[in-house]
Amino acid sequence: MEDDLAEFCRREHRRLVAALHLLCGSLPMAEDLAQETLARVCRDWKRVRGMDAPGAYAHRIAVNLATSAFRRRAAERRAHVRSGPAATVSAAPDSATAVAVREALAKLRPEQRRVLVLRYFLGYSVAETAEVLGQPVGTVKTHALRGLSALRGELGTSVTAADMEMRNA
Amino acid sequence: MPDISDLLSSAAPDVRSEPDLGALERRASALRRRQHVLRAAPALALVLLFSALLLNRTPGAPDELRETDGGTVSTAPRPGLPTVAPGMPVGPLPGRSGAPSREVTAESAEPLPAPTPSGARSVSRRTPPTPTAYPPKRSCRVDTIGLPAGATRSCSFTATHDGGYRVVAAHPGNDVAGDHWVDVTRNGKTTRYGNESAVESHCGSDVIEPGDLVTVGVYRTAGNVMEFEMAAGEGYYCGSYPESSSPSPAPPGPTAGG
Repeated sequence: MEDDLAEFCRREHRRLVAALHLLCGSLPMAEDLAQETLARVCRDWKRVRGMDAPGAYAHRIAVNLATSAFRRRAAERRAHVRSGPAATVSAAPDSATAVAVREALAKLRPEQRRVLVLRYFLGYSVAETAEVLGQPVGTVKTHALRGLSALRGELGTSVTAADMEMRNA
Repeated sequence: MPDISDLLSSAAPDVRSEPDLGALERRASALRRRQHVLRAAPALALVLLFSALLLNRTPGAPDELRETDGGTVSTAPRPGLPTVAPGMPVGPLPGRSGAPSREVTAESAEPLPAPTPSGARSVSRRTPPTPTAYPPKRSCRVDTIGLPAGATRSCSFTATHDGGYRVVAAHPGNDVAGDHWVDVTRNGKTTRYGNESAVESHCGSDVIEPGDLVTVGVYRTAGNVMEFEMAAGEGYYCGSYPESSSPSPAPPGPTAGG
């Protein structure tokens, strides 16, 4: 494997697994999907390496993979037959907040969850999020605002993202 | 007042491991091979088409044609020649109700009616040939890649093994949205599976037995850009995870996240 590709895979792997875990709620599935995402990047690396944002390309593939119900089911099935928990899980127990946030995320509509993860976890701007998702900027804004509102309702607390949304809109 | 980014970061797992680069390379190689096969498929179909046409035009080797009672025409294929011609276009398959249906390509086809020999009298009461055999296969699959709206694509085979069917997204992230069906003919009775977008229709297990005549079809509805593929036969069932064709998504152009 070429050095720059190996470096890219090492750099993106953690972000991909983390983001996919937030998207699909299952760490084994997130690892499967991250692996598949990077495999596709490897396959097309000659083309991908010349892109302005290879990471965004990978994230788009990852979001698409996570979106596919069929692949999600299949990955779940494969994850279930794998022996033992994934070794990449943090040894530290989840905090109550982390559990609450994941549960709240799971209750959001998928399109809202995708926008929130891309926008506020991976740090894309509204325009970049729209680019990755292939959606209009206005749609992304709507999903973000509604997702944040739903998240507030689920968590029973206020979050400051609405201000961030307005700043970056 | 917590910040949403902080909340999400706290909820994300602490990933400490490195990716398995060896496994990545192996998987990427498999994806490349599959990509090459898919790219070669249209050319292969053309070769088969021309081969079939040439076979049927070989001078001195026409299939015999005889008229039987009631005006039914049956063919007697030459020994050693296949009774079907893979790669030939087939008749239109039923698509969405009321929508025009246009056949584009097929991996295999219905049995070809024998060409009428020169001098043979025309048969006005000719009965359409009933499919009696398709190429024996374990399975076949078709996809909507490159398929124009309102068109269908299908493949047919005579099942050599038990099996089921399954529709999968052909493009990463695309949910299946479009007509897809599997017709299974057994003892002259055809049962249709699949079709429409209900989740339950996306797969079926143990619906195919050896000897069944199976036709797999997909139909692209107008305005539907989703790409998916339908497969049937051995190894396809609810819960199976067949490799799907995976054309690369168009590269996005955001400037962050690299």
